[in-house]
Amino acid sequence: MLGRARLRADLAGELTAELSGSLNLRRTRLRIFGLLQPRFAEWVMLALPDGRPGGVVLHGGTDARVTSTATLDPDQDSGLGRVLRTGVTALFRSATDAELDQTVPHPALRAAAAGLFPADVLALALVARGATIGALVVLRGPGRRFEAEDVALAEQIAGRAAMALDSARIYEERSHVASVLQAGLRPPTLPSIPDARVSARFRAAAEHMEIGGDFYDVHGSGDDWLLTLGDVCGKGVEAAVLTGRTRQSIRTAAYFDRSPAKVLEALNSVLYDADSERFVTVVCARLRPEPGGEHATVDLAVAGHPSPLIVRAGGEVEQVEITGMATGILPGVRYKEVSVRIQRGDTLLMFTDGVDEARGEDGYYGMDRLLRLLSAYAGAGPEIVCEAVEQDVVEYLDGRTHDDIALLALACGR
Amino acid sequence: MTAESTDPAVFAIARENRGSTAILRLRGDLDMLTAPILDEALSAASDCATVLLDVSTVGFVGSSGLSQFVKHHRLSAERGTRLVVVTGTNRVVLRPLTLLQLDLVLNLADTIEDALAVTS
Repeated sequence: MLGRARLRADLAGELTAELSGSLNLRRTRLRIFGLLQPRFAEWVMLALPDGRPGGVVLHGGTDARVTSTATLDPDQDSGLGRVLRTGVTALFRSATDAELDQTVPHPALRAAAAGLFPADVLALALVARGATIGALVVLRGPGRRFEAEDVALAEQIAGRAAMALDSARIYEERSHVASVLQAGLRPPTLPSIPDARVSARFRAAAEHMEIGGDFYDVHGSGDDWLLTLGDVCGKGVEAAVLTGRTRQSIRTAAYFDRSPAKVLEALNSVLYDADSERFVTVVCARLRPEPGGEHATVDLAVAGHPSPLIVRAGGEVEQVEITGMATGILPGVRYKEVSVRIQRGDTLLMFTDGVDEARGEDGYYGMDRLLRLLSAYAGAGPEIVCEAVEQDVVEYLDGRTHDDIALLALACGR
Repeated sequence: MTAESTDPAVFAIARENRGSTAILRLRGDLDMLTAPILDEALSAASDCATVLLDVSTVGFVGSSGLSQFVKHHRLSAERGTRLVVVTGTNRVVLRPLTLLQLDLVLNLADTIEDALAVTS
């Protein structure tokens, strides 16, 4: 008698600690089994509706790791179907085969349960936030019965388990939404451009599950390419949607006219009409390498974005003189465009303000530091320039949090 | 005064009314977490003929904060009221404003006295 009371007290005590720790659905299920089996019941099953009409996923039984599926008869008004529909606990003392049939809708699970007969079968609804999200079925074999106190404790356990499972389910659904959105935003694979080289780096801000922020894209064909690098206002799902809209608008605009100024004007109109507050900064470069790769023409336009740097083969570093308003703020903005010529050995670098605005021990990373660094990498090419800048900024940050950092560099020649 | 209220990183908005002018003094970092607080304060001051938004001592302004400047500039223009952003020489404000060319859109003033002189 004392042993049973002790067990009930132990279980009640462990409940909260065991079930509040995880937001992983599978781990939460395993913890429920770990808590109950075999101390509270020899055989434990979770039945969770899976969205099919009458469909349930069955977890556990004798072995917590086993998962099977079943379909409930919609006309059956007893056993598991009734518990799921009404939320009312069902206790079958020395359950009959018929009662087991109605409560465990799977032949193999049922056979294992029948092996423990004569047994008490207890089926409880899992109710979370006012909805029945599933059922918990537990079975005690010969010599053990579910006393009234056990049923009360089982209902308490089912309540906690339901909240834990529901929280884990909601969390996993949200993570799924975020990861699908993120997959659509992932930086693209860079194409191979004849007579030119392109390299990129992207380092997301460390915040958990944050999406949005910086992006880059390269599209075109033959000897005419458009490279864009940008920064979207804000974070989270709204920013992710805005990033998607921005990238698509740029792609569509470039289909009709590859002039960077025209692309930014089209983007500005689309964003201004679509959203009243958020804005996007973009640098847009049209790259036209000459056959053989000795020279390339780069037309540039910027919208509220730092203008690109050119690292000349001889070590001089110039910042292209061009400015323009961020897109999405005012209607009908006209953008300026400049054309620069690069030669073999020169590298043109586009970057987001996560670079110069990186905050380290001595304040901002700053443009001067960037210019000095780049001068040492004259002639190194896009891959090494991107690598060097990323490394230097990361070292400067020395573990501090930072904004997104994106780099896109190009050079002519192979 | 508690230690908490003097912490420069703690965001706070102090409002002072001078006739039909409201002066909102911001302190701390204006980022995605604090921008909604500014949104609320600016909305609450929407019945004032002039709102002076003093950001001359803020420690950081992110794009979420800047977008509130743009949003409320637009709303006040529609209402026929005036929003002036007081920047002082604060680099963390001036740099993004000029980079994004928001200085061409917003009403900016160097000091509150300058802003009051223009509006009175």
